[in-house]
Amino acid sequence: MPNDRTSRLLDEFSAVTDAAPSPDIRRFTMRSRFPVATLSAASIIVVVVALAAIVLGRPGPAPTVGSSPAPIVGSSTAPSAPIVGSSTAPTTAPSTPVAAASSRPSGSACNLSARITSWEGAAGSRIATVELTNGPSECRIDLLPRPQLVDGHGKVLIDGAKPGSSGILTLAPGAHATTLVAASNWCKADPQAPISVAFVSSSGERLIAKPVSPTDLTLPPCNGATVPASITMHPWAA
Amino acid sequence: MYQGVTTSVAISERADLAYERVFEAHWADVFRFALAWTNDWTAAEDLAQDAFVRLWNQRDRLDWSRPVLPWLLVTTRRLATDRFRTLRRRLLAPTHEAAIDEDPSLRARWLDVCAGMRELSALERTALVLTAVQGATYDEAGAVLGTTPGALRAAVSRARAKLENA
Repeated sequence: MPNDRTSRLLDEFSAVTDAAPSPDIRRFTMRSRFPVATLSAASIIVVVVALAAIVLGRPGPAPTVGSSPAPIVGSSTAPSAPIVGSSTAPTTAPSTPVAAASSRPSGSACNLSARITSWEGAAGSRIATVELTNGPSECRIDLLPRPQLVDGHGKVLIDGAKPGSSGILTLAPGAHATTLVAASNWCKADPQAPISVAFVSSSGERLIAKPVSPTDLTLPPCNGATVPASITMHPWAA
Repeated sequence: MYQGVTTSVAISERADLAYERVFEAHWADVFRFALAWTNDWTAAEDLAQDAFVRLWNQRDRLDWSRPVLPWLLVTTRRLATDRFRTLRRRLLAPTHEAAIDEDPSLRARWLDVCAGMRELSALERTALVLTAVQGATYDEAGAVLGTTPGALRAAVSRARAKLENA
């Protein structure tokens, strides 16, 4: 077989799929109506919750499965709100005001959680999709915190650059936001699993995302030990 | 009456055995096909599983003397292109954790393959995998993918050109 890129890719595709474990056959012979049942149950939940919201007359977030209320992107001169709950008012002003001062810092503690929903490969990088979920209170977060790649002990493996001023994202109760975090060039030994990403707010609060799995060891490939490792992220988005 | 019951049980047992043999022989083929179509490990596991669930539900009505793999692959393709299923996948979280998540080195290798394959469309990826990895003829692959052998040949050619020029 010629040693071209297509052949190498197909060889690797074949090898990877050959190495994948087959599931237990009993999963198919016993869960034959599972998808329908799941869908029916989800549909019932959606209908019941939607009816409840209508009856109670709540204008709050739409309670549909897997959807999230739209967070409000606020432009503010106030410094970024902490990522993890903090009720203290910020004390420093950002160097570059984004807009006229009109919004105020969140007065209630945030109760945020984050999880990595998937890792994807890219040329020389690994990209994590991270979902952020707000708790029962409205919360204001940095649109662009400092990302970090961390090991299972929370030790920082790759530290992102401290962002300049960034906007504020106001999350309604129960709202979700997502971002992509790209890490590249890890040339050291395998660290303690699981690998995850953390976000450090401008006020120093740190939120570590739940990893894909307890044993996940997804690390970016080494592109050269002389090149520094890097990690960047997109702003949080609804 | 008893005769009928006995015959029914016997057919059912034969179907169960045939199902097991088909599962052992073709799980990898179906999964590989689904993976080529979706380029997503978890989605491919879901699709392959649902195809085998449908086979299980049809086991007493199938003619097991004929090849089952084409039926499985066509079923998988239809499931993959089902708009309602796509909507469900967007709304609901994955129904299981992908088996590959338990093997970090395999997972890392897959991420590289996935990145390389992302340049191709679903048809191009699947046409390439069916013909170059699974050994299907253009006629067989065209029948599974619901297209002509000529269109299949063009898709394979495009896929190779994209990968080589990337």
